[in-house]
Amino acid sequence: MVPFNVLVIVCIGYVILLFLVAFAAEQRARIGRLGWLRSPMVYTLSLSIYCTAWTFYGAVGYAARSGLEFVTIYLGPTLVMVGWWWVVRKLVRIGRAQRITSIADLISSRYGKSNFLGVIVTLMAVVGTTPYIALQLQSVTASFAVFAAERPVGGAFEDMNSTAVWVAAGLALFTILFGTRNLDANERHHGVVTAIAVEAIVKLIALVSVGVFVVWGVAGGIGDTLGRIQASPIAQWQVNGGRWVGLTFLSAAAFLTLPRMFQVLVVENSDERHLATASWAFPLYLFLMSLFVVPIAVMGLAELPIGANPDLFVLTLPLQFNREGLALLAFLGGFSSATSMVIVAAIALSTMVSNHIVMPIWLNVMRPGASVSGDVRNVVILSRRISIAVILALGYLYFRFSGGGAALAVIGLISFTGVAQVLPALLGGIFWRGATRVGAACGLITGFVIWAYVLFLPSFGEGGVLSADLMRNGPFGIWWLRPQALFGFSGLDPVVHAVFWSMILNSFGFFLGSLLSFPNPMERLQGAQFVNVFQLSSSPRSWTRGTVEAEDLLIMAQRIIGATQAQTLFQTAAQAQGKVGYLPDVTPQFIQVLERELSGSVGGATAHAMISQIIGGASVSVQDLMAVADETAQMMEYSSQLEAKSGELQRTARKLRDANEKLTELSIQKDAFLSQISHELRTPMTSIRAFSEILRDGSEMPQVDRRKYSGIIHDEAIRLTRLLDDLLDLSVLENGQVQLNIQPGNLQDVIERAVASTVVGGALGGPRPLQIRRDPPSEKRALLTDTDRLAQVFINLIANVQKYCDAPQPALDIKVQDTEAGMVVDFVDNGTGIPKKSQALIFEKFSRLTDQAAAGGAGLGLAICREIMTNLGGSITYLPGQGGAAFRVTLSEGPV
Amino acid sequence: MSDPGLPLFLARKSYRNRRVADAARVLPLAGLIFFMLPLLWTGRENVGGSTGYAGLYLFAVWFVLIAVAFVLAPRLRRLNEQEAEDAGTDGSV
Repeated sequence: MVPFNVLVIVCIGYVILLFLVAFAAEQRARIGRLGWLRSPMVYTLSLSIYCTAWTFYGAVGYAARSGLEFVTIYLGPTLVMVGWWWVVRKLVRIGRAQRITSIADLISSRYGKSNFLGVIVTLMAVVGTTPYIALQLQSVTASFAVFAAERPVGGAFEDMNSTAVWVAAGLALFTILFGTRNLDANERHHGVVTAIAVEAIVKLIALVSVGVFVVWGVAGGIGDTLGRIQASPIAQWQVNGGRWVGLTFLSAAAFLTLPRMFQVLVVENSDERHLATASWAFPLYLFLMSLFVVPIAVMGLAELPIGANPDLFVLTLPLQFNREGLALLAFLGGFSSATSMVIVAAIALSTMVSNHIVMPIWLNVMRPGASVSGDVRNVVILSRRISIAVILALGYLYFRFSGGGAALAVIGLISFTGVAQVLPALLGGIFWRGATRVGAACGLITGFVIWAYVLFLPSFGEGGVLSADLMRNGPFGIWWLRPQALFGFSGLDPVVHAVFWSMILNSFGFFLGSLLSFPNPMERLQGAQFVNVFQLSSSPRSWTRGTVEAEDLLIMAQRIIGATQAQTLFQTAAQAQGKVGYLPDVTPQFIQVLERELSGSVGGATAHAMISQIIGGASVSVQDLMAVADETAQMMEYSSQLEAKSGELQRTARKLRDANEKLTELSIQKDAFLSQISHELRTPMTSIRAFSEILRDGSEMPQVDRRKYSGIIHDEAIRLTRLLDDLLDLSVLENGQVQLNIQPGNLQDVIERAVASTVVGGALGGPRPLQIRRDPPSEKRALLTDTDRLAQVFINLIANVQKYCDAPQPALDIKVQDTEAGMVVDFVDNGTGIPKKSQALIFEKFSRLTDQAAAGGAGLGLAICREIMTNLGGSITYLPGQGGAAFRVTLSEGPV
Repeated sequence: MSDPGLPLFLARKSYRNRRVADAARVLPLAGLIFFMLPLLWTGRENVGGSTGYAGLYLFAVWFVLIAVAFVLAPRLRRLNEQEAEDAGTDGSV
């Protein structure tokens, strides 16, 4: 036998080795030589804390009792890791993006940084983990006892309790030394992780060695082993279907929600690529860990005396065959399993306790002066250290008072079921935007209460916490509330019963609570960030610009994350803003970054609370929310904006095209006019010059000729003057310099005047008589306008009819009527009208549709009319579709 | 014109990548089905219902799952990086 003292020495030596490994890794990390410390293999091995002493010893015991059922505990995690693309990938991405420190922090951050949820999850985790820690202490002491049973009387260890005390104290010391070195819980604990990786290798080698010894040393190889399995008491496939499915589900759920698993899986993950490796390597690890479980169980049942504890076959089997070295290795394997689990669980729980329970209380107590007095950094570290000690003490007390009676596997399953209650809130939180804080609280509390009532409290035994009468008949004799037969489901296995009801009612509460409640802005913001973590490229701004001084923030940050780190952070931010020195502008972005940094140390809810204490409660602006909360709406808004813009562009392009056509046409018109005006000016000038030369040179000219020639010169001069007058008039009108002579008048008088003057003109120039049809009563309207100018417009219009109307019997209708726009006077003739393509141009200067009757006009008439009407506050437009050419003169109601 | 022998498909590579992600999603479901399969054997007294052979079956399924995950892992790692780049999310704010 191994002398007990040797065992103790080996054990202490192993612990010292772990200390050295952890210390060396910390040193390496400190000088920046991370190298293999960050390899995917170390990450995978650190996940192996899933395999605790329960797995190491308990799996064999489990197999000895129920055959292959033990394997479900590994199948769940295998499926989760193989399906990492679904859940784990998203969890890790969220964990890194939000700087999540624990599972309580994840739940709290997701549901609007609600500390209430953080507290619930923390309490559940502590209650669920304490029995588990007790279980580890129990397994270590039990394994000590195996060796101690053989020792000579009078050794150092009198009872199991003192062993447990020593183990618990040693673990607390290690955890405090290496687990609270960095305040930033979001940074990797290189020392701890490396030590755990070493322990993972030790326990794998130990179990595989025992397995190989059993298969090839005790039995005669694989074939013989198979034969022995077939001949053993567990040869029959005796798996209960409910348990098979239920336990696989439970282990998968616990793999995601156990605080220690979350710690290594998400928080300690330094690189997402490691997940890809772990997706096959971790299942392989589990595969190897469980490969020899059944052979060891079968051999133990066959070779060891009846009544031997199957939970310790891994140890007792080698001892039975006097393989002391192997037994020692197996002992170290079990020791490693227990210690690594306890260390990580204590780190994870202490982070949760300090961030979600101690810090909020401390902040509340210190509220008036949190930013000016007291060193938060020390408070956090101290609270974490105390939490570690308290958690281990709790585990010890549980072990002490539960008496270590229950089989290992049962305690493990109770613990799994407890922590699995977080699953609905967790999965709902990362996949469903509609999940709310109220829903999460409902689900968590429902699940936790049911778990406690139907599984946890009954586990203390009848008459333990719940009385035997209550267990049998239900509270107050209500039969359907019996703890182990809720709603009358009495045939189920207790664990399956508990998993079924707690998860169903938990999910139901979560779902119903979420549907019926309304999330606050912060919840919606966080929900969008979590659910859309793969799509959201930029983080939303959750702080509105406050009036806070950067210096206050620096003082606070220094207290939390340390002076150097805080200064570097501020300096970098200032540089990014293009400033020199340590104090950046307090922009929302900067506060966002700072909050993330702080939440890496004290958790999301606390960091948020501390910053809001300084900033003054500003949180989410509606704009921020709008910007991120609904990406679909954002996209739709964007595309409708684009659409509007492109519509506007199209309209502008159309206008431009029209304008361009008009300009081109105008340019042609202008060219034509220039040549025409030259012609118009030149023709009279030529006549004038020619006839004046004749008058000058022909001295002996008859009086008749002289008079005739002088008359021609005079007429031509008048024509020139009229042309120039028109041009001048137009120029004056266009520049708005015209002097209007506003006076009261009568529309009928104005029309009368216009008709009279044109009839005179018409008699002179028009070969055909123009018939004018009027309705005198309707013309009796009072006016307040420049009647002379208005008459000029009318004259022009009537004259145009005389010149251009191509009907054999020209006729003009003058109609007066009222429209919405005001009083209108329509001039409609019976000619062919103006072609559509010319309608847009007739009011332009110099436009003349035909050269035919160029009697005196230079194409300025309508342009002048338009300018006059504009000046009078009215308008003149061409009225299409009236049979002939039709012009509408609109008169404004009042004076100009 | 393109080679008539090749089916017409643009961006074949990204199409393949998305199918790898699909495979990764289906893998755990397939595993679940195969792991639950022994439940249908209960009640049979022959070798299929024995611990030994059921164990061999389970470990075989398990090993195949690990092997497939091993084959998929490098592709998924690249795909994940690619997606992270596309989204511009690097987690460091």
